Amino acid sequence: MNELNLTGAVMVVGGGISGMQSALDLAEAGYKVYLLEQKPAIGGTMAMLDKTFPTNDCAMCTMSPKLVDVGRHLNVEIITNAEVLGVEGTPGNFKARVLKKARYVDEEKCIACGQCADECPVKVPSEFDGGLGKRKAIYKMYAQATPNAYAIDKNKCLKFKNPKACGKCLKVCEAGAISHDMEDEELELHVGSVILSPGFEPIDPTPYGEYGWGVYPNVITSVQFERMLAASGPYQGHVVRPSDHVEPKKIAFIQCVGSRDVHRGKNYCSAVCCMYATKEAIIAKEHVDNLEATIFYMDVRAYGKDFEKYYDRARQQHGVRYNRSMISSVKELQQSNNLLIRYLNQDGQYQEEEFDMLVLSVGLKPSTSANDLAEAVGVELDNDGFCKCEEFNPGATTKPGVYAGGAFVAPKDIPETVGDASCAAAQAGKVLSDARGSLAQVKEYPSEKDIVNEEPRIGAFICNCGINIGSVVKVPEVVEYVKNIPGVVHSEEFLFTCSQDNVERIKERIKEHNLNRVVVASCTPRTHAPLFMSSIREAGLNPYLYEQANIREHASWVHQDNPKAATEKAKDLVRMSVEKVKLAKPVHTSSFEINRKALVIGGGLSGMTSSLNLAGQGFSVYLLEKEPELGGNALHIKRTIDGSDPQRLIEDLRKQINDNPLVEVLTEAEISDVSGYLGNYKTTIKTSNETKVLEHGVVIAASGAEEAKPTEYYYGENNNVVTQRELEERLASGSLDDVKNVVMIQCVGSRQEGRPYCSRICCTHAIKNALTIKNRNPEANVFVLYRDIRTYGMKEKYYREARENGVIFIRYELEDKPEVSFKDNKLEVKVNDPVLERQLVLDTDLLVLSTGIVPRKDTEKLSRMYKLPLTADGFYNEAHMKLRPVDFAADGLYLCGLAHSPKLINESLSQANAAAIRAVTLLSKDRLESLGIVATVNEKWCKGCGLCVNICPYDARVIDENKDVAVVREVLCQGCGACVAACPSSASQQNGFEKKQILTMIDSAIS
Amino acid sequence: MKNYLLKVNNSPVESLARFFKNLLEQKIVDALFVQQSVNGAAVQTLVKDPSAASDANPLAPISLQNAARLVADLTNSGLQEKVGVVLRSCEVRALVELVKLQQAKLDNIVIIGVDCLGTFVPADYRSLVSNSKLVPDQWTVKAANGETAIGGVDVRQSCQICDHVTAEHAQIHIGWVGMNAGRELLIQVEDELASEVEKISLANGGNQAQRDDLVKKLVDERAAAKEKLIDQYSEKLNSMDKLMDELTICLKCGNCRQACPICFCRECVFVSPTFQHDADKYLKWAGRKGRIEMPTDTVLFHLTRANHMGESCVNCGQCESACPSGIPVGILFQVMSKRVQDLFEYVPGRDIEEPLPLTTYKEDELEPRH
Repeated sequence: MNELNLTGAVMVVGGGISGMQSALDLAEAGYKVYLLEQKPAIGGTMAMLDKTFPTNDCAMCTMSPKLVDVGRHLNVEIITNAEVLGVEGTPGNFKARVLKKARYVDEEKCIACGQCADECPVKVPSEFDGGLGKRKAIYKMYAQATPNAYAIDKNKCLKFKNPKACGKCLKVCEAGAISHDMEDEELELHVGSVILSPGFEPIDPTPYGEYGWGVYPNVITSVQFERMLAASGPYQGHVVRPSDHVEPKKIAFIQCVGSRDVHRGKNYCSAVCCMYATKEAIIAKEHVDNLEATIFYMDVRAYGKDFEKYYDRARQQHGVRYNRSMISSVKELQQSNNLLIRYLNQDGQYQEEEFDMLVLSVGLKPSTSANDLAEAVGVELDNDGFCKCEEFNPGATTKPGVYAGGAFVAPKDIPETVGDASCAAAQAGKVLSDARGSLAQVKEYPSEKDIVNEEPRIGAFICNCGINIGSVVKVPEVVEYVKNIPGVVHSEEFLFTCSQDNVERIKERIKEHNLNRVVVASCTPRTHAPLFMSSIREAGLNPYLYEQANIREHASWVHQDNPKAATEKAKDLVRMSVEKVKLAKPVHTSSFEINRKALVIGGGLSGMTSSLNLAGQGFSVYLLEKEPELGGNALHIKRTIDGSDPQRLIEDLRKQINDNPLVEVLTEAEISDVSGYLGNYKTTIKTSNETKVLEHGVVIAASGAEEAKPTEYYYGENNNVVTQRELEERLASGSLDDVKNVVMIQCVGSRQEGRPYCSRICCTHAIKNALTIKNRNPEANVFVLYRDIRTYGMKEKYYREARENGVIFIRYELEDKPEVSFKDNKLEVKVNDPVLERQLVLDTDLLVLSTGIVPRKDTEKLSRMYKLPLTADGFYNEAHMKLRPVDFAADGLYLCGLAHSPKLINESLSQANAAAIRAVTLLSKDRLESLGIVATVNEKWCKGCGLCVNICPYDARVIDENKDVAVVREVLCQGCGACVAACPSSASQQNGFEKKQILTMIDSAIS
Repeated sequence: MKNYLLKVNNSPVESLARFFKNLLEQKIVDALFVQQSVNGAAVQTLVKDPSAASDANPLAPISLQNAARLVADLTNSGLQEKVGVVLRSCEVRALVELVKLQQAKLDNIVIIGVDCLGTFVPADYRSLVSNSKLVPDQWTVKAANGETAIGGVDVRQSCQICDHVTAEHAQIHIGWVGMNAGRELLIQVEDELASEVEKISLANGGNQAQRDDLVKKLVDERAAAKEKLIDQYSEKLNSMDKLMDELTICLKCGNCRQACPICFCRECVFVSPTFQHDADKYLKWAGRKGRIEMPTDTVLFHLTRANHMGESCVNCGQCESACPSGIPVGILFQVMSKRVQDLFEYVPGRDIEEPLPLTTYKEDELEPRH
């Protein structure tokens, strides 16, 4: 126990991508995590998605490794069907009461064979499929569900209604996992901090009767359409109309269903619908040849990183049609079940158009459990039902020690959700720093048996996987066959090899028969090899003396109709594995010490916040700033639109940094040289009076960005033409009170050739300044000339307020930009108003240009020095757009703030904290350990040509200048094998995949 | 580059030898790597003593090996003295590839390029010289017009279709093609070296339009011939059976590998334990197929070489000259390497900064090109 008696555990409520990220960050950083989920499986909304924008990556493919990580993590305990009843105590020491409802299936015993669901006679609409498909009363939410176990829906199960009625599932469950007698339990969890991430729910479109959802079969929600597009969904990815299962030729999306609609309750923008509709339209067009897709919208809010380009591609490459209009009604045509949409187009005319299918882009609302949860935990919600958080203390709820992540705080996209989830973890980590590691477990193994000089003694265990394998492949025949392969001393079949008792049995057999190698023939090694490798390690064998043959996916499943051939193939697969395992060698991982100091580049709000969080978690930080003082861009921001004062924040952060002995600030510092790598960097910096070498283990790039300077509209020539930032400074100095006509032009230099991206914050910035002007002088005229107003999420209310306060918004097209003239000492702006269909001439006292944000020039230099990838727009390129927003692909390098992409202050602060906990997951380790399957170099054969160095994506290869041979930095090697393939001399091999082993398998396959 | 003229009194070979001697005497280079005539042939030499350069003859149309390999070995561990290396185009280009493959270093190297219209098969050269049908001075003066053949015997096939006459990346370049080689040779010197080379008495070179025209004409003609031959062989080798047929007479002696300037492995995988199989394995294979050809892996050997060297092959043709069975290995390699090089728009030897295709990745690099 530590001095303060802190509890080194955290309860994370909600197992969507947000909760999973918080849990993984904390578990990796050395805390015990209880991950609570209301449903029978974690995964949340992201698990339901088909693809994700703007990369069109398969959602499940990117998230399933995280599912596996969470599921297998020694320090994450998943508690499903859980509900929080109450939280008492103080930060560092909370007691949480949790109701764990009965699942009626033992998670430990269930091997998810699915026999129970096949037999279950009760069919109900599947919530996971948006009601488009059916599930049974005993069900698994989705194929990759974690925990990978079935659950009984008590309300639907016949046996609960009448104990004598059914029980078919009980009869077929070979594992004996089902019990209808299980009871709800109340748990008491001792935790130091709580993170709430219950997520969101799609808005129910029923009240929006004009669209006909629930009445007309071919009107579906975007969630339903997402499931329709998914290959694993109820329609196997076929886009067809629910009414007749015929492919539609013409579909429409209606945006803002339930969002931006003050009259029916939701005054906010749901922040993701424009992009998901764009994505769904693109994917649908890929699924159906010549499909016409139209999106009816108010503003296209493509405000995120690389979103604008995605929107451009949708229009230009994929031919998605965007129609700016308001829908007045939808009617179904009786014969065809087609839908007739009547809408008011942008010219103010009513128009009608017929579509085969209609998708409603429903918005996001707080989940129905949010109220109860907030009450049980004791946190406040805002007027919209989202969690109340301080603007400048992201993730901090109204209750100290309790943090919030994801869409519980506001509607948001996956990257922000993941970033905020890490931020919440960072906040919790800061509170519990002294208790880090106190409750986390580390697995201990017995010492390894030396088998190097022994002849192979192989044990082969053949799995029936219930009837998954056994009903097709003749498992006893395979067992007999394997017994006769030289080297095999024991062979045995199991009903479920992965069940706890059989894993124990394998360990017994290793001792009994003195086995020195093991083959398991069962399912895919991707999910199960770690389990078996770990268990042979528990029996004293090196875990790499193991091979797995996949006789389920590769034999019984794919050759279901040909048991004989499937059995022969299973024999082949096992024989190949046996031949390979004979050549298996023990693999020893290497580890090395790391420098626990972090280098944070950039002393703006992001850099300061990252540094303080790291220091708060107990790590030393060098904070580098090239200017004489800390503060960065925020020094120019006088007030946020939500009313907070950035200057006070800067002052506060500076004071904290000043008071914190762990943060060493280096101002007027420039990086001149970088050497080393993960864990052991040496960065040479020059300050005004010295040159210094900093040794550190990780880098957080918080190097910021800058306001773009316009090259048009008389900027720099006329004193009354200013940027938004300059306007803000003038407003702060109070010198503008007598200005009558202010014209703001949005997207100056943005969203066009040369700078194709949207800078995200300019609309909010403009509205903030417009409101200030109007508040000071209601008589002043403020005109905002815009292309789309992108006040995403909760900022929408300010757009409304601005309109209500008389700010005039006039839309213009890229092809028809406003024209500015300066004659007779007067500025004049001409713009064609598309609604009035006439040119407006605006007398202008002050012209304000919203110019957007551009990367700093030195970003490129830093990129070269630390090998940080950049996007085409020149911002840093993170490891994964959605799921790794603050990581670079290479370990030990992180990013945050404006250097990532344009964003608001609170978003930067969130990323800054997120980057800090990501760094802590690494810095908190005693040593860094390599993977087992790393590449090796035979120095005798290596000629030092360096192909492997150039080809390695992980910076794990270098040439040893003394010996002129390549070496592998094992800790950085990810075992991808690219270097092995590139080596012309066969000097590179990969542990576990050596040339000889592979050739032997091939030989065995064809012999 | 600055143009100078080296005056020749009938013997371009002798004049050039003197030029090299001067380079050493004036300490423009500390040592010289240059081909010198020996009894009926010419070999590469490394010269420190200026008087030992008297037989220097880089114009002799013979090349026992691609000298890039020798330069690579010379420079691999770093040079402390400045060495002038006299190389033909194919040798410079191979050297550039070896630098990219970190087998050679250019520090302290002065590349002295020399025009080349091709070299004879060494045995042909020796017999032509011993029968006095080929006298290097006379051959040079005559070949300067573009005619290389002597009484029906011509330079190697790879040279006949080589579309490089001048040597790339040279700091000093010696031109004789298109010159009146009995009277003068063109010496081109890069600007930084000009003041030093001017210590040797050279005349101003002026404009050499006539030479430039002939070089261009020869390059164009040879490029056309190359394309034609490649087309012809592409047809001839468009199936595995045809390839195997072509390679039937391969002895697996490994000469082609030995002669290749790019092939740099310490130990060839084909002589390594990877390809030394146990008897039972051979018998198993034989059992499966009824019979197998011994030695095994002949075609795989050539395909592996093509795989490893294809992108960097500079078409020097040394492999072909080295083949005792007369397999047209050189053209065979060109057929295969051209595909790869075209696909990646890669020209080996073109630019030292141009990364090897294997080390770069572009998402669309394997998509069909238009």
